[in-house]
Amino acid sequence: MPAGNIGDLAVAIQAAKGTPAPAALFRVPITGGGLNPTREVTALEGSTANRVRMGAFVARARAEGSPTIYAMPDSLGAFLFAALGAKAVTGAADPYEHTFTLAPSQPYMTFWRNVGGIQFERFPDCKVSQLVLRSAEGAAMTAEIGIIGLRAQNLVAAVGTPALEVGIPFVHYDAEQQLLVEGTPVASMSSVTTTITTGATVIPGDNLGGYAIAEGMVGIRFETSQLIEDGALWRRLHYGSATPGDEAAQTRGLLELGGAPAGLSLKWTKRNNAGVAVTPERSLEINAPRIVIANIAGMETNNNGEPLRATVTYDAYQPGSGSALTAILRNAVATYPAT
Amino acid sequence: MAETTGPAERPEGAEAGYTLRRGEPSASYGYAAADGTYREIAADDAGVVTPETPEDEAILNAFGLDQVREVRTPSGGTTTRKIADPEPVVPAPITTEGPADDQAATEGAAQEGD
Repeated sequence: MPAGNIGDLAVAIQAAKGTPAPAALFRVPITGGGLNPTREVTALEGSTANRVRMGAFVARARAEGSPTIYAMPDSLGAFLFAALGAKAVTGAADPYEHTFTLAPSQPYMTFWRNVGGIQFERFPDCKVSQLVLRSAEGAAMTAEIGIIGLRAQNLVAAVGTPALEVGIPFVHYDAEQQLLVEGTPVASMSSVTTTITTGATVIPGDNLGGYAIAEGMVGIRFETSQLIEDGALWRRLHYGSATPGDEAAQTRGLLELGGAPAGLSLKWTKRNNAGVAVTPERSLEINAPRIVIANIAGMETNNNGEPLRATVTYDAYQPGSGSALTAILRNAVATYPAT
Repeated sequence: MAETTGPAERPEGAEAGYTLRRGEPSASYGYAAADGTYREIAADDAGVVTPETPEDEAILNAFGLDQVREVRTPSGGTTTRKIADPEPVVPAPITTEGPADDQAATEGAAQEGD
């Protein structure tokens, strides 16, 4: 009987739609969720000799899922590229610096999975519909990857290469003093969730799975949990100033973050056992320069004396130039090639 | 200011009217084109990136790469690519007609403007 924790997810970037990548670029452990073939069965509603339904047929068969993996310094780049669509790499040696930005189109990806050592599948022509990076106190960072694909294929053997990427993923305390709001570290930030929704949907065609996957409007949202150490941010959101006057009315303006760097700048840097940044550098940096606070929840009294803690929701909007979100990954990977 | 001497022939993308960009030497820029194909543009040893399609240009713009101004040297037919140097601002010549006194009066009036 196969154990449920045997398995992995592999990924590669396709050079073109319709042609699966010939080999995996990374293979990573799965911490939750999965990627599956899907099928829709539609009933035939014609009349029959009795009350029993006439029959049914397979209307669609595709692939879909939301596997969660650990945010590993190397493989994370493939998923960031899949979600954002553009990448640049600089550096002649380790550490290489990969900059991922939003582009009009996303790449087609091929995924593979092994479940229990008994079922092996390949998922060509996939795109990422959502990428959620979760970093929370006491936990390793995870990446939940929403995937939709035009088809699935059974394989008779597992993908054995490359080697599974193991090791210590980014953890929350790798971001110590590097979670910046308006250029200022917020040391009480005990969790950050970054959600990139790409709006990717299947475009139907003349086949079973669909003709293509089209990108839609991008949504970028950050949610943080942090102490409320004073009411300044709350007053700025609701009354337009950190120090509004007595009987100040609610503001009609949005609270767009300023600072230098503007908006949010979040960075996780791998450190050695002594807490010193490792060399060559292994880091993830996320910058969103144009940020509007959507909501602050938590300005409420409690009955147990716990400190006030806010859940702050930030939305990213298109800046005057450049990308609404830029992710910079420094690692040992020279390139994320399409094949 | 980096200044490099490149080949005598202009790059293909430049001939097509796309603006050369300054990246970093040996950098590469990859993206998915609208038809689902993957495109990669590599900088040359001098860091100059040559876009060949409008999509290339849009991606390089998104990365914020500076434009490269291409100039011809007067001798030898060599193309010199001068990087990230904005076009010089040349003031428009002032042409006036009429006697010199009228011109002075006009200039004086102009100096009193807002």
